[in-house]
Amino acid sequence: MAEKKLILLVDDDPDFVEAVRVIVESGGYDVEVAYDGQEGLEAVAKQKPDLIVLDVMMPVMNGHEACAKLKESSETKEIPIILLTAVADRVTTSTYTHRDMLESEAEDYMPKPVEPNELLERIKSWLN
Amino acid sequence: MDEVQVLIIDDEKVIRDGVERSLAGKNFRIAKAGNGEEGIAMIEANNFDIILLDLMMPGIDGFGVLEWIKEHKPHIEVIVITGFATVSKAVTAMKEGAFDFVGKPFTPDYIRIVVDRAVEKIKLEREARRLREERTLTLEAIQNEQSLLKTVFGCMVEAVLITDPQSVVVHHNPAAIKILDIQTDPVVGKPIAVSIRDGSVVQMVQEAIGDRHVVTREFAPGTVSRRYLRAHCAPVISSGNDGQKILGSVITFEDVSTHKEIDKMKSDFVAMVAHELKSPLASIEQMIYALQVNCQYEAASNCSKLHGRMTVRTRDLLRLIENLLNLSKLESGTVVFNLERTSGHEIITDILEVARPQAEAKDIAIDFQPCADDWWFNVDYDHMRTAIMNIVSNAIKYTPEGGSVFISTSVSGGFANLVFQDSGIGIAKEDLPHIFDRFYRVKGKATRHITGSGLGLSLVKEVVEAHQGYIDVRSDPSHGTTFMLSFPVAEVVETLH
Repeated sequence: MAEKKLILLVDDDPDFVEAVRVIVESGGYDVEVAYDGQEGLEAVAKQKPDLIVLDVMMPVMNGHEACAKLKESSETKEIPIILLTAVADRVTTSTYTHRDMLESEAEDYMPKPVEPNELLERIKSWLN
Repeated sequence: MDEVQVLIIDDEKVIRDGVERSLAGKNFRIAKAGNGEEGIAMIEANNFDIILLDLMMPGIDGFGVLEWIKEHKPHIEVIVITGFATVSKAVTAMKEGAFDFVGKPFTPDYIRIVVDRAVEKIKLEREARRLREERTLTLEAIQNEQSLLKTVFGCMVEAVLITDPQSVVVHHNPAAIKILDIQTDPVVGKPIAVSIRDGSVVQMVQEAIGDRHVVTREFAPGTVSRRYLRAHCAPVISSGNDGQKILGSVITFEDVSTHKEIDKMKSDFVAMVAHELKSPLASIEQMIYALQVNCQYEAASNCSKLHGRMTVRTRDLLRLIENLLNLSKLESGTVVFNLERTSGHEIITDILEVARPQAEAKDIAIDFQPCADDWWFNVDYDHMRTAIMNIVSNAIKYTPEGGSVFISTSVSGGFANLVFQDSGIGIAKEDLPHIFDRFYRVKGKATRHITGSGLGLSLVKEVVEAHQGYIDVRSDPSHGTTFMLSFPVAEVVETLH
């Protein structure tokens, strides 16, 4: 049996992280968690994940910065990143805008909260 | 004038009767006295207007009586009768206050002429007195009015300036100097532009005078003064016999800084509360999703149905908060629009892609017919997307299953027109004027199961207007609703036909 893929979840809200963890684990993945951008980078350094689900709005180091750092390093730039934005349904806008998303180097972005099947589908497609 | 009271004082009965006959048949009441003493006694007891007085009498003579009259009853007109017809006596009498004289012998006509003249004089004097009194009263009233207005004017908290038709200040109150930070001294007599440097104030005055209507404008701090001001400028129009005439203008400035401050506090508070509500709700929604993951084996159970509703309601709440947040930001003017050149057809296509599943679930056909020419407009992508998305999702929400939504565009006169037409339940006439009001929701049987915050369309309107656009709505409860949006276009690329 093939080893389970490892997904790293980074978000500053523990409840949110737990909820996403349940969804991701239901898809048959191992899950590692971190609670801000800095912790996320440390977790990557400790054990390289197969994919990162990264929240944009976080203290210490936000998602964009963490994403940029990961894409700078040749070690980690291949890891697919799905950015999560609090902009509900991309219908309304708060701090981060469409433009930020377009300029970001992340592979994908999804609005928060994420619909379980859609998240699992995106993870699956980026892992293949 | 009522009956004229005439007294004839003469020692000769012939003369007395002769004068009486001359005046008979006219509007006179005539009394007679045979000597000076009797005459004076009668004058004291009655109100006479005119006295015909013989100068030469035994006892107190005419001069004595005249002196007495002028001292005690100066308003009585005295006509002297002199037997000598000597001018010198008559002149002396007139110097002492007699009105005229009649020389003996006299003709009845002559007496009548002289007496009539005296009557005329009395009438004129009375009229003059009446006018004098009236004038005094009017002046007093005007003065009272003036001091009242002056006090009101002086006490007013609002700044008031009055100009003539050429925009020269003719009057102002103390508050004007204070509120408008005016440095000019004096302000009166100079064009308003000298005291208020802001060009739009001058323009406002000219507009009010030129177009003859009230102009209202707001001035942010730093334009006219350090305060936030709301100004009203009204033309002063006199409607005389020769048509309407512009006399000038009255400009009032109200200091609304405090209102604005409170308004901002309100917006900030709403923004803060909304922001704080948002993140826990987002987590709750995510946890509901997670619960559903573990519940999928019970797909047909109540549990699953309730989970579904929980998700919907939480999402509505979240959207309400987002809308509230955005509205308060738009209102407080803190939103910075990142304008980018955006393809009109592309943004609609993007939105329809997201909206389609929602429509398909209700078996609603979405038909998008873009015009032949491609066009671009300068908009903040996210805000514009939100606005149009709200319109589209309303169209789907308020259209029953099996209905249709028709979207088309056209370009004319530098504007792009977007039409969103649904076959939905429509909006009743009485609701139509309110649909852009905040928290206004059409209540009724047809809308009972449709959730929403009542903020969507107010947000749409704010966004559309922030982009110099227009929004209009037409609705017919039996045919559906049509929203029309217009925006200035940045560029049109005509496709070759």
